[in-house]
Amino acid sequence: MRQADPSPEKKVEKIDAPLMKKMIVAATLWLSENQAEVDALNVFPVPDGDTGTNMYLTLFDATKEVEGIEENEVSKILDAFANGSLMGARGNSGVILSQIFRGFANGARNKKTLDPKEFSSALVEASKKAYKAVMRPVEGTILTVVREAANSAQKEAEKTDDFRQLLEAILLHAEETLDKTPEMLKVLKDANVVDAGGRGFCLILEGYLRALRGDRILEKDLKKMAPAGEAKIAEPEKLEFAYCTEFLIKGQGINLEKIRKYLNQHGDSLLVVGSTEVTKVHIHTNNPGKVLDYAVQYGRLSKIKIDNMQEQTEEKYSSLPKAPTEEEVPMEKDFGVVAVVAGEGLGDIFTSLGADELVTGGQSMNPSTQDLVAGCEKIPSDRIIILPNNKNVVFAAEQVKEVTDKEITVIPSTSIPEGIAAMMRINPEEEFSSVIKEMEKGLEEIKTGEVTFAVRDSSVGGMDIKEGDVIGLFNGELIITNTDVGKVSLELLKEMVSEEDFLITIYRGEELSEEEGEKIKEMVTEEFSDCDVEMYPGNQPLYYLIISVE
Amino acid sequence: MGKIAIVTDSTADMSREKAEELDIKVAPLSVNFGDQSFLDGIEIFPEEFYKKLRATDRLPTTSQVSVGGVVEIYKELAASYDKIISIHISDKLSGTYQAAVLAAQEFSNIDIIPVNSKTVTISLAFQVRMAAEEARKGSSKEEILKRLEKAQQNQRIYFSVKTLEFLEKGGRIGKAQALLGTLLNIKPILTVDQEGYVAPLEKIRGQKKVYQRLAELYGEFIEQHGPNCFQAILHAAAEEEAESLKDLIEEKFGPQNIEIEQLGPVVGTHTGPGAIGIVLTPR
Repeated sequence: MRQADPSPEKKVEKIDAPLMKKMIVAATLWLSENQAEVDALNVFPVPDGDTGTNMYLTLFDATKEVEGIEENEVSKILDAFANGSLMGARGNSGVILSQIFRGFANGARNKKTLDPKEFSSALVEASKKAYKAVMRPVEGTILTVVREAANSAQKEAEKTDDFRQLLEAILLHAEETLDKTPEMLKVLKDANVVDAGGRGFCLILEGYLRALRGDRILEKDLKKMAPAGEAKIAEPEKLEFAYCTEFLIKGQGINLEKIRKYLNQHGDSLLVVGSTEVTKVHIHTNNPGKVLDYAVQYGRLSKIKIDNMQEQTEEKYSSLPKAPTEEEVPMEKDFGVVAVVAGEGLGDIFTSLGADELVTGGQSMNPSTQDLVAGCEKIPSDRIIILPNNKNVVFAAEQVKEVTDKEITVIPSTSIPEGIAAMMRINPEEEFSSVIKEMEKGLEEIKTGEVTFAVRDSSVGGMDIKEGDVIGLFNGELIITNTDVGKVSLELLKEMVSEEDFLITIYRGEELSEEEGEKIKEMVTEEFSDCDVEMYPGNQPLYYLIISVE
Repeated sequence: MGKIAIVTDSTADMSREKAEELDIKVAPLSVNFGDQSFLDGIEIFPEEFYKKLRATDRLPTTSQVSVGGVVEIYKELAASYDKIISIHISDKLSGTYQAAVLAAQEFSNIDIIPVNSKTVTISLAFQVRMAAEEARKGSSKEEILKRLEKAQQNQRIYFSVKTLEFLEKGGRIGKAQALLGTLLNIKPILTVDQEGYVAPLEKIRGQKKVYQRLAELYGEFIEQHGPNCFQAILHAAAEEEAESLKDLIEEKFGPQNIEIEQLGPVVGTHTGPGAIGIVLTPR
């Protein structure tokens, strides 16, 4: 798609809604073109080179929101874009990006068009919002680049009324700042790279500038592009309330108003009619038992009729005769659990421990806030606990709170073993608040080891690492490298196991055969005779082994 | 003031000698292997029971004491005592207490007080021993009941089973139901709760961690109630493991006065072999 060429000589003094849309699309396409480069900047030599992908996917979802709307106010476009980016946010970089756009949209509130000064102050808001969203802001990251871009925008807006000059100056300063990031952050310097998120932000600015200049971006149609790893299958519509419940109450002095008030909290389509002696109740609810239980205090119940409307809808829509299904719309639960997991075996383990919904994701495939929201919405409960099971997903999980009416609690598990330890501590008989406390305690009681491979040559803590080397991480820190999975596992465990530990659990990844796994288990059992050693098929990608010690 | 007799049932897992020494009458439950029924502690004993259990692929069942069986015991005692305190297995685990209540209603010439111990096995035996001690000292019925009530509030039983299968098949799994069907090899620590149900206390993974945790729970109790408690390690055909749990406890807390006791046939039917646990009751 070729952008309409504004004449090269003509100044651009304001951004209106159509131009803003054009800039947004251009930035998304430009980032997509350069996604691989950003991915490659990821510094840590574990396979999470996904910053570019995450940023692109976040932008992609946000851009879809904007494409669909016909608005002629810039502020409306930016609002839709900010909302879309929050829903599409993947990984830390995606979430920070969504905060930048939210701040920008807030800064441009009620504006029909933007002039350079207005654009600049919106960018300042964007920078502030991004800093606020991060618990401990680190310099040398996308945050620094955004802040510096906003600073230069403010200065430059005083000097020019042409957006092309403005954006050129902002981009230049942003790129200079990016080049300094290795000086601010040692991990960048060690790996001899600039910050990936910061680079992504520069590409977005560059995309804007290209749209203003009318530069060619690429011959791609955004509508036909599908983000990686996303396959949406149309599902039969889920009803909010599944059971149509009707009955009569026969009693004396029935308080219709009181019944109405109470039942209103437990469903919709509510009707409470009749007299104080005979009252008819009709409600769509997820918990007919609770409704009947409540009503029975007012008298005898009769003509009770309960229909599962979900089944009825599904029957209506299915043209083929189906075998009767045992799956029913579940009753309302006190709380539900969403766990982020990659690997079939690990998924089964979480399910068997009581997780209600699994969201696929983990290292290098962070789920979006939207994916997490979808998981939360599927559970028939108003209280949802999310286990991110990866440090790069914690942030996206926190964002779910912003977009759902449900009460969301994130237990910040940063690894699969932590997630399992938290699940082990759930006692559904307990009060919700103590369930949360117990789960958090679970996180502290476990040590996580990971055996994986390096995705690129690098040097960490004085160790030279070649692409493809087997590496061992202890609580996320790289401590061992070798070419043999068994050796790395043993050395890693020697670091992990202390006198107070009695159980080693090994989750075998999809890269290892059962036989290879058993061999490692035997070695570990022999070496650590004071511990029980258990092995389970986790089938996780990328990680040969995930290990817990407790 | 007349003499007080103490009665219990065979789920207290008291040896015949101990019962005789303390002058306690024991009403036997029964264990059924197929069509054959054996009176617990009279016709079948632990060693033989666990041997049979290993040899059969059909799990045994148990039967409570009949009302008639209890009436017989009370009748015999009515000749020489004028009060009976009859202490039994938790009514949430067996109908034996109910049988004692019904049996007591058959008597008007003697004061019979059935007591729901809200526990089982050696923990029940501890209450029985307390009652017997008090009776021997000449304490009143009220004094004895008060002491039992206090014991019921503070008694603890923590145990772990090799598999939940026995508790489930025998219908005694109670609140531990939720632990069934997990893919991880979970070894829950179970307890008998304040109401007398079997309930999960904690989910633990790994046998070694189970021992560690049992030892810790022991330590917590001793710290709260002092070392001078009724205390025992229980096992179902797992004497060696019981000894090593004792060693572990003594390694952590110094020499302790812990008895090692075997679970009897009726309780063993429901825990399965390999169960191990600790029971503690303040004096």
